[in-house]
Parts: sequence; C-alpha cells; structure tokens
Amino acid sequence: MGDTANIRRIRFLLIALVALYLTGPTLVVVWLSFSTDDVLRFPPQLFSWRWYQEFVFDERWNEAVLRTLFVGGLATLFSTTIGSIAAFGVARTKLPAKRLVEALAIAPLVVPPIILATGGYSLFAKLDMIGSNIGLAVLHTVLGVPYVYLIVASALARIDPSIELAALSLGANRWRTIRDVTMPVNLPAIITGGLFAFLISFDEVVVTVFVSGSLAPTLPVRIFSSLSMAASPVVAAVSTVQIIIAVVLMCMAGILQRWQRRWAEAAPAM
Amino acid sequence: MQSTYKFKPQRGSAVAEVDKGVVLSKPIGFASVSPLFAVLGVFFFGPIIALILAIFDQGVGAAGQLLYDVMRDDLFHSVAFRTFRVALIVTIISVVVGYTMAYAMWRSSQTVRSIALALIMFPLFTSIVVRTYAWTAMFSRFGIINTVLLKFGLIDQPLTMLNSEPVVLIGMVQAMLPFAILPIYTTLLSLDLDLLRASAICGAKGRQTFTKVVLPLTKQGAAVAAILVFVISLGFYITPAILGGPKSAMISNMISTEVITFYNLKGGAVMSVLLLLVTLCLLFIASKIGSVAAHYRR
Repeated sequence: MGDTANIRRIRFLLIALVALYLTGPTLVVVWLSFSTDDVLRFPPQLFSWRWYQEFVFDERWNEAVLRTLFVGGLATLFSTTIGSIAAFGVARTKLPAKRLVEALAIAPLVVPPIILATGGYSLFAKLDMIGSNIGLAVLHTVLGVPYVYLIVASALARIDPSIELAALSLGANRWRTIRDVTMPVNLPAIITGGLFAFLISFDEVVVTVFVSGSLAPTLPVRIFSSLSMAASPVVAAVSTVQIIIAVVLMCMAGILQRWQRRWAEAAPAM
Repeated sequence: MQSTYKFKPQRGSAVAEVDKGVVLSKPIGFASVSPLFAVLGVFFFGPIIALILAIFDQGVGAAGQLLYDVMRDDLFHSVAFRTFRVALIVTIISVVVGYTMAYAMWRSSQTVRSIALALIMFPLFTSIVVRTYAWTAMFSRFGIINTVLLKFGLIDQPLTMLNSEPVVLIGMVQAMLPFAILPIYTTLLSLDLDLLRASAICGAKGRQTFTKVVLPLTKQGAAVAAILVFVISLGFYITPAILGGPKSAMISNMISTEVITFYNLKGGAVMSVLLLLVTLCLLFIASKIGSVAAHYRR
C-alpha cells in the first residue's frame, strides 16, 4: 500500500535491529570459539581448533554428550509416540471433552519448570528414582509432549479431507484410511514434533539438576555450571556445536513443513 | 454474511466425513489419549501432588506454620516483588517491541517477511544456556561492549555490567520476544485485507486505519500474548542465575537455593505451590480473553 520511501526505510531498519538483537550475540560465540587465547577477550586471536579438540578429547564432556543423547533420544521417542497418538485421537475420533484434553496436553508448557523440578525431586525421592536416566527421560517427555501434540494437531486440522474421502470411496475402511493415508501424509509433522521434543530435552537444565543425583551432568547442565565459574573458551566451542545442531534442526523443520503442506493440504496429483 | 441454509449430512455416511475427514469411534478416542494421560498423571500431576503432600504431611497446622514462615521471610518478599517487577517490565517491552516488529513485518514484502521469520525462529531453536552465555561474552569485563568503549576512549576502566538487573532484562526480553512477535504476527496475517481497503475507501488515513481497524482487531491476541509472556517470565531460572547473580535472583532461583543448598524442601514446596497458583490464576484470565492453545500453533 501507499507507504512512502521513508516509512519503508524505518520499517526495514526496525526489523534489522530486532533481528540483530535476537541473533547477533549468539553468533559472536561462534567467532569466539576459534580463539587461540586462554581466556575470553575481544577481539579474539584467531584461528585455532584447540577448544574443539579440548571438547572432543575430554572424557567428562564426552560423558555429558552421551548422557544427553541417551536421555534426549528416549524422551523424543516417548513424547513423539504419546503426543501424536493423542493428537490423532482428538482430531479423528468421537472423543468427548476435546478442549479439556487439549488443555491438559499443553499444561506442562505454561507451568514454570521449577515446579516440575522440585515436585519431581520429591516424587523421585519417594519412588527411589533419583539418578535414574529413564526417570529423567520421562520428565523430559512431559515437557516435550505439548510441542508434539500442538504440531501434529494443527497439521491434522489442515489436512485436505478429500484425500481421506478418496480412500474411503475406493473401499478402504476408516481404520485403514487413517493408517495408510492420514498417518503417512502427517509424517513430516510427527517428525517435526519429534525434533522439538529433542530440542527441549537437549536444552533442559532445571529439572535435570534436581533429579540427576550423583550422575554425570548433561551437556546443558555442564555448560550452565561452568558458566557460574570462570568460563573457559571451551564453552564457546561446545555452544557453537549446539548452535550448529539447532540450525540444522531448524532447517529440517522448515523442509518438513513444506513437505507436509505439499502432501496433505492440497489433493496430490497421482 | 451468514448463510441461512445448512446442509445436514446423515450420521455415519461418508458424506458426514467430507469436512472433517475420517472420524473413528469413542472407545478408540479414549484409547488414544490414555498413554498421554497416564504419563502426565504420574509424572506431571504426580510431582505437583508430591509437593502438596510434602507441605501437608504433618497436618494442616504444620502446613499453616510453613506458609506463615515463608510469608514472613523478608528475603521471600524482596524476591517475590522483584520477580513480579522483572516479569512486568519484560512483558511490557516484549509486547510493545513485538507488536511493532510484527506490524512492520506484516507491512513488508514476502522476502523480508520470510528472512525476518527465520531470524526470529533462530533463538527458539538455540539453547537458552548458550544464548545466556553469549550475553556474558557481550557484557563481561573483557567483553565486546567494554572493549569497544575502551577503544573509543569513552571509559578508562572496564565497566562492571554483569550481575545487574538491566542485563537480566536484556537477556530475558531476547528470550521472550519471539513469544510476543509470532502470535501477534499470526493474528495480523489472519486480518481480512478487504477491511483495510474498505477503511481506505471510506477516507481513513494510514494512522486512522491502524488505530480504528487493525489495533481493535488484534488487541485481544496481543493481550493473550502479554499474559503468556508474563507467566513464562515469572518462571525464569537460567537467565537471572547467570546474568543476575544472587542479588537479582528470581523466585525460581530462590526455590532452587532453598531446596538444594539449604535442604529446605518444605519451604521450597510452599513457594513452588504459590508460584503455581499465581500461574494458574493468570492462565485462567488468559483463557477468558482468548485461546491459549492457539498462541502456540504455527
């Protein structure tokens, strides 16, 4: 519409500034991670891989990575399964009180994590589950399930009903239609939900600190606790690895969303 | 425009499934949500019940005493007050900047929109610990800001900026902005462009169209976004712990210190339950204004 060139310039400047604020500082970490200095300083002396070597060859960091992947993998598996099945149930059955189910499914998203941490600690102390990786994975599942649920539910709501109708009119029963048509076209959304569930677990600190007992810390917990002390540039290297993983997952989520749209939201040409 | 004629398909016929897709029976519905309920029941409601039991395990009188002790604690007062103040400031900044940003994106070209969206999503994917670490690299004694200020001779000594509330605010607003921008932007996208054309045809100037058409139609969404940002801000832990230090502790940090450092699980439980009650009240208000779930859909 009829905006003057000045307004357009101001608008662009505003968007650029906010975008810089949101991403700039994080990207500085990438720059720092290639420093040759022993401490953080600006501008860093470039260029070395020494902090990456320190990360890769340090046993304690390795232990942290392994535990993070194990807990995150389990949490992803659990929350993707549970969350997608529930989203299917709400979208495709005659279940009553669907709004209540939805409210329950997203409740962990809005309750402060410290409550799950202290509560999980008291519960696990009673059940003798402090220091259990599976117990931690299930608590991470609770935190990840809302994302899976919301992503799969909103994808299901946008599926073109004529795809399912086509299967029905070709003689498939409802069950088979769901299994062979709805489920496969929704697969990208389910995987996207899984990516988010993994990221949630991959990023979780508070609950993990409370219920880990004497176990080795996970990656985010190790970063967190090394920040409270003197931060060595190795943290910058670890953080850069985390940023790269995040960017890769973000691109994957974008691609998956495009597939989802192409497969499910318009009748596909066969 | 509302059509007076409604086509009512017969139950159970294939036609009934045209607008909604396939619909399976009720028992399958119950079966499909039962794993979710089982896990949430034991591992989400279980912890909350465990907290309440920890408070009440020596009777109502002892629970009252616990509550009284927490309420009388001066440290709790100052931390609770700070938590509300910080969350409120973060909410105001996030919603004002978020609305402006969302509006600017909405008025921009498709290319600018997509790039801006990707950059807004980026912090949602990167770890909050990593992002907080990045702020320490900006604000520390030998950080970028001190280096630049020293180089240009604006200061003689490096400034101590970490461990202060403004830095916590900067970090928290960065974390919360996407939660304000994205729902408001989605609301703007759903506006009927014909309304804007109608407003222009009726002679409204750009500013009038904004205050009389766009703002009234989007303020509900912005209000729900504001409450959500406030609720999430109340529960922040990592940002105040790293950027604020003990003097800028928020309620989550205090609960954590009580439980882990002082082994005072009961005191921590009382504070957790109070925080939960405040959260639930705010969410109830939000749900009266608009759909909370809709704000998390993309």
